[in-house]
Amino acid sequence: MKLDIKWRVLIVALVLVLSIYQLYFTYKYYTLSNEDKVKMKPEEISRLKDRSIHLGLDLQGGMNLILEVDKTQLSKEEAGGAVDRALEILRNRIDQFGVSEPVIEKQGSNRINIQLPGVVDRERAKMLLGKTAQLEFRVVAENDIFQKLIENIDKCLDDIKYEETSRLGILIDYNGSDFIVYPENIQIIKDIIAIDEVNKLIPADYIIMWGREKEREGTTNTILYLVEKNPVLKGDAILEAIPGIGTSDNPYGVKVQLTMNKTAKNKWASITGSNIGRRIAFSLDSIIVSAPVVRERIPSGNTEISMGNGTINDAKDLAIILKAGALPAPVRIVEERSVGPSLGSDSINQGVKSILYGAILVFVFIAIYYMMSGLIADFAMILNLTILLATLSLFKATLTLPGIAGLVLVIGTAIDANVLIFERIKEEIASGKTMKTAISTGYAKSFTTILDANLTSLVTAIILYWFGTGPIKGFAITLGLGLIVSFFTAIFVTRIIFDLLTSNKNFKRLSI
Amino acid sequence: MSFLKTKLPEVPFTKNRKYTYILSLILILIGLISMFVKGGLESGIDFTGGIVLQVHFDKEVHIDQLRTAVKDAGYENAMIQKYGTSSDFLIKIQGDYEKDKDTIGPVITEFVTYPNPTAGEKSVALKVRVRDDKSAIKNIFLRSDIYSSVQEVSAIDKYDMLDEYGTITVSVENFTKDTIIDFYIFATDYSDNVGNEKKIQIQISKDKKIDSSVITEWADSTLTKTEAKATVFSPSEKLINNLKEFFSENNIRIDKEEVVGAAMSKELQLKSLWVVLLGMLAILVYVWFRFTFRFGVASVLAIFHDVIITLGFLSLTGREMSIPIIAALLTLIGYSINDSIIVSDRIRENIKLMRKDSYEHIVNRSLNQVLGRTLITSGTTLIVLISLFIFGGTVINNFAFTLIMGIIVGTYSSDFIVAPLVLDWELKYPTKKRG
Repeated sequence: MKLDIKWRVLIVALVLVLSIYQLYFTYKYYTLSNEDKVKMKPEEISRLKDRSIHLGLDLQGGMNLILEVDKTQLSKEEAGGAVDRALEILRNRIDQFGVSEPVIEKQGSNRINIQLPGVVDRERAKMLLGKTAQLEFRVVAENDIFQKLIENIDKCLDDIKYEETSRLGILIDYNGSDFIVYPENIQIIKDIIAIDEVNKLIPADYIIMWGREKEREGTTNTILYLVEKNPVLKGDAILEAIPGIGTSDNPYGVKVQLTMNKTAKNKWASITGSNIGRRIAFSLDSIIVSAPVVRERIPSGNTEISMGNGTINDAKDLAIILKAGALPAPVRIVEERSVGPSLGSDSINQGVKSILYGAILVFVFIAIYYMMSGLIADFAMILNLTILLATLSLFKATLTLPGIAGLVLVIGTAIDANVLIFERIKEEIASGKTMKTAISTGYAKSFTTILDANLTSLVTAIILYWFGTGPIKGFAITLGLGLIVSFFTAIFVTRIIFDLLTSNKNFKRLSI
Repeated sequence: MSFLKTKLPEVPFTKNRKYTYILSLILILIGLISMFVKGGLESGIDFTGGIVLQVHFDKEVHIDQLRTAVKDAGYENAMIQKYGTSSDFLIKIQGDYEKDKDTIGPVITEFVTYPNPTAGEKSVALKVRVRDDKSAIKNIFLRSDIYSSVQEVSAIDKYDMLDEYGTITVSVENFTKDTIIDFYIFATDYSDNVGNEKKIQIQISKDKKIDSSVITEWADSTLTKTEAKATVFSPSEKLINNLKEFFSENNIRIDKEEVVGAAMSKELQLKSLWVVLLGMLAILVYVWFRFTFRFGVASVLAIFHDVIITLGFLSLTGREMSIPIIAALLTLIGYSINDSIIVSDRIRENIKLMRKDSYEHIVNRSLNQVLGRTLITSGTTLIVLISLFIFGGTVINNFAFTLIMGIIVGTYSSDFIVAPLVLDWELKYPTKKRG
């Protein structure tokens, strides 16, 4: 039943060599200097990275978001595949954003988990993910219709004896082409429009929409638009979106150049043809980005959205989300856990430090207390950590901060198996048995106890794995794997060493 | 070298069990009282929802300045504390940050009409379902050409829920075949938002009967003609922007950002409770299966004892409950049971060997036999945990503290609670197998 000792030694040696080989990649990857990275091919680096230990977002820094798709505004049919479509679109946007190894997965029925590892421009990422990106083209009402409406509304406000200073005629600065609103008046106007009596005055085919806040002539302000209710074109018309610099009114202004698909091209031609001299508003998520005047019929299906004095990054991001398409419904963050890279590396340092100090103390204690046998146990412990780390990188498990705590705990627990065995052996010696028989009965008697103890811990680790997300899962994995590995090192490996020592002819006794 | 080498210790574990029971009860009571006085355990944002930001400023900032900045952003109850240096701070906003931000009215999500089955009935019932994500539904309204004014739909369940059903009965008196009636339905919520109006069209397809598969046309005849309100994507955005504006001279780096939504935190609460209970159940079943039912019960009692006392320590020291603490508690359950199993195992073994001895003697002997192992294992585990507690950094600190407390209590309970409990049970109701 018992394997020959040579075979057992061979197995351990093989496991050890494989582990060290596996860990070599980790060592090499994390000691790469920037110069080395420049010299290496990108595939080489990614292959190396793939084979080394993956660090969790809490250690390497990164963003972890759980988004919820707001399905309340959708009909039943639309709601059906909404989450899957949203996931696809978000994946496209992230791919364009250029984060390495993002994780995008569905969670439950209406949530999406997104993990962006490494150094992430969080603001930009949020902007890219959070925009529904519903692009709509609407014809802007003639200015005199809007002016007339404003007069009517003010009359109505007089009738209902609304606060005297709050009249649209005063709050809106009409300069002949735009209806400008200054920031302090925005809320007042929103309140006025929300009044039922006022609302009824707005012609049925029109809606009022807000523009983006912009800096014009030294002040920040917003433009109010009256536009046709039904959009003439929507975001699905877009085939290609390219960021660029230089608009008709500003050589340094940034823009997004749009190319429309075939069906939209014809529609666009007829729309522009019949609206020459009027303005068409481009709105993104119900905010008007720009509203250029149509100068001529556009048959090519090309048009551009001017972004005023935005940066080229703004234009790039807008192009990305326009190309990826609109989300079927708005999304919002229901959980976020982001860690900056500096905090992450602090955590690694502290974690490594605590492992090191803890392990050294335990090793010294065990060596002093059990002497020679203690050294054997210490050797098993080192083997345990080596195999554990190698297994982690082999299974592509993620090492998180709680995972490091798990490693520390594994040191504590793994020693337990050896303590149990050694105490048993001591008892057997005390009852008058020879060293050799004491060792074999010690191992035999403590086996089921160790099995029971490890299995219960394993049960809790499995429950934790099922329950936890991210960091906690990492803890459960290190703890669980550690328990399994310790079973191998603390029982199988130490036994070999004992057997080797006791098989020596000169063997008399072993300090324990 | 080893002081336990030759002679077995003779610690009378079970002799003073009355006192250890009392000690445990006192410890449990202290914990419970502390939790009661403080109104339950202090919960972190994992369980209450909220925002935590760890910010780093390039130049030093006075904490009062930061307080003003956070207040300006609209967070009156934010907790701000220094984090190491005077340019690192932790900002914590606890509770439902979304509460005051509900700007979206309820939505009509479903509706059915049910024709009355008995012939001659002249009315049809219209049932609608309304949903709001944040505030409870207040009223449901309906207007139609057949009414002169807007009618309130009577709600079926009026429990201030986010989901509400309402029915209205419509008289069929004037209906003829192929009559089409348009209904416009909208609802309001307790945050005084008016939802979009939805159009429902029903058609009478047979004479005086309403077809159950009525054409159901959904159309938004948007009541408010202004633009749709955008969903707030990132709850922390407003705060971060405000800080950047307020400290425009200073460079701000966000080192950590945690946001937990209100609904999410409720889910995490429930999940945590389940996972701890499930852990205990799994242990009970395992120990019952491997040992005896009595040991199972005693072990689970001991786990309760360990968890409650540990929670008491957490409460006394004012530490916050969080997901890592739940993980620590579950680890502690696995640990505590380890000790109990090793003791039980030895008792089971000794029952076979020491047939003539009393049960109490066997239990005591077993406890003494495993004492060395218990002390050394707990000791080494404590060593690494203390190292983790001191050097592991703030994130791990609470986790390590929980485990340190748990292991001390767990070691004590398996020697002084589990075995004595089984002993007392045996003395009162002896099992038939022995003897």
